[in-house]
Amino acid sequence: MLEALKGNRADEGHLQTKLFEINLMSAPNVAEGIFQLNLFTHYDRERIAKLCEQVNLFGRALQNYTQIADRKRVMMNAHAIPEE
Amino acid sequence: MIEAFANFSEEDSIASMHDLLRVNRANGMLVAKIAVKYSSKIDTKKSIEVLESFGTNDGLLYFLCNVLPHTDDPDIYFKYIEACARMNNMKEVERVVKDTTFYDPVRVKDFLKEGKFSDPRPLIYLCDKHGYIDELTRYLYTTKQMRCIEIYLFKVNSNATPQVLGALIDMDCDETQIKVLLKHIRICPIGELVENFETRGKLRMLQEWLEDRHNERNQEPELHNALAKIYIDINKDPQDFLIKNQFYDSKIVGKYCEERNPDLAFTAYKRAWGSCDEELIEVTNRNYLFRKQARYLVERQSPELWASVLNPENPHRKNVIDQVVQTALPETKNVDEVSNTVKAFIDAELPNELIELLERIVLHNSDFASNKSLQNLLILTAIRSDTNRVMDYVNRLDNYEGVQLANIALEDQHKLYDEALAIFKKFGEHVEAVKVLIQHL
Repeated sequence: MLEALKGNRADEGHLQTKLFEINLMSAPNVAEGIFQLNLFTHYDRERIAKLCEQVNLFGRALQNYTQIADRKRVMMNAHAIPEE
Repeated sequence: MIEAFANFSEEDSIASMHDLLRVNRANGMLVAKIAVKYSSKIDTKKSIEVLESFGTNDGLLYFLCNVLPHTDDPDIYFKYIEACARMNNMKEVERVVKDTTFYDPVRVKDFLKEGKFSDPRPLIYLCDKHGYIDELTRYLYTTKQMRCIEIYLFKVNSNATPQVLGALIDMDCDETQIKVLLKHIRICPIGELVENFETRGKLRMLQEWLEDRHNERNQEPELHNALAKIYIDINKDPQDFLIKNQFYDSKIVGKYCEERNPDLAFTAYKRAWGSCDEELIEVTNRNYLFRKQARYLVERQSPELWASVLNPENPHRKNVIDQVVQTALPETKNVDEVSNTVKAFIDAELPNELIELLERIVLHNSDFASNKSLQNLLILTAIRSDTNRVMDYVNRLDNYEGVQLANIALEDQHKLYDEALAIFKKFGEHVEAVKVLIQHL
């Protein structure tokens, strides 16, 4: 699926979301790996952020939340978030 | 994390920084980094407030270090100094105090005093730089840090010696301690030092120190003035000092002597040889030292000074003339002094006094008894203003211009025929003598 979505096409946003969902729920470190590739920009950020928060990927959650209140809450886990 | 603040408002940023510290005080450094990164949008003082409220010193220090180069706000400087001092980084406090100018010196000084830090150097440098020397001395003395006073004077600024020692005297510091300090100081503003001791009535404490400087051939007048005053006070052969020392200021030392010993005042003023004439006349008048005054006038040979003393307005004129006639002039061996004195009496139009004066030196067997011009002058003056005396002079004197004086005596306004006759006879001018007899007698 990663191979198939490499083009980062706007009409495949729902598929990007799906890919993150699957990995976040089963293997969060694989999801983290995909984040690091910095390939996708069309997924549902709000939803993915929420999932990240649930599996303690607070840095990614912070990156993806758009609401100030959400970001403020997540950032309280500062010990698990890289500074830069 | 730091990026996450990029689109936070100032208010949100502050709130989050606050929350981060609240969940864990160890986040101090992180918060400080955020505050530095966004210092353009987050008010510096608000950042400080947040960091301070959780007592995160290293975070606060990190933040202040980074904003200090971009500010001239005394409050921020104060916070920085305060934070450094709390972390016991007194070297840095010292650096800021010495190398920057934006802090409020009074506030920092009070902080350093109240903090009672073991390293007093920042306080010393601050007080030195801003002139709080009296206060510094009092602080170090009352906190029993004499050693720091020594360091300050010996290593930092010996020019502050006068103020430091003045303050120590004011606090009744032991005199031997003050003398020990002095012993190690060689160079400091002497005038100020002397003044600070003198106004506190402790000039004599400086004697040894001043003598040491004297022996180093220091020529500053303040030094020699002070030594003169000390020697006068302790009566250590002051006359000798006042005559031999060439560096003291006659006006100042003379003034100092006036109430204590007018004779010494006279000596000091005399040595100025002109610039203190007015004071000299004043002090000798006031203390009836007319003999000294008369001798000075004769020696000094100043037409202006003579004129001022022989002025009819001078209420002491009679006393001075008496002393000139009786003592000063008969004593002198110097022909210029005699002629200048005589000239002064002529200029002052004092014929009777002049006659008296000339009688003294011409008739009474002085060195100048046979001086021709003095004899001429005596007879001439008598012809003009005291005719009764002429005959006596003509008979008693024998080194004068006979013919000329006889002819003057014959002039219509004088009509001194007997005297002219006597002169002609004395000088063997028989023809002239007979003429006088035929024409006038």
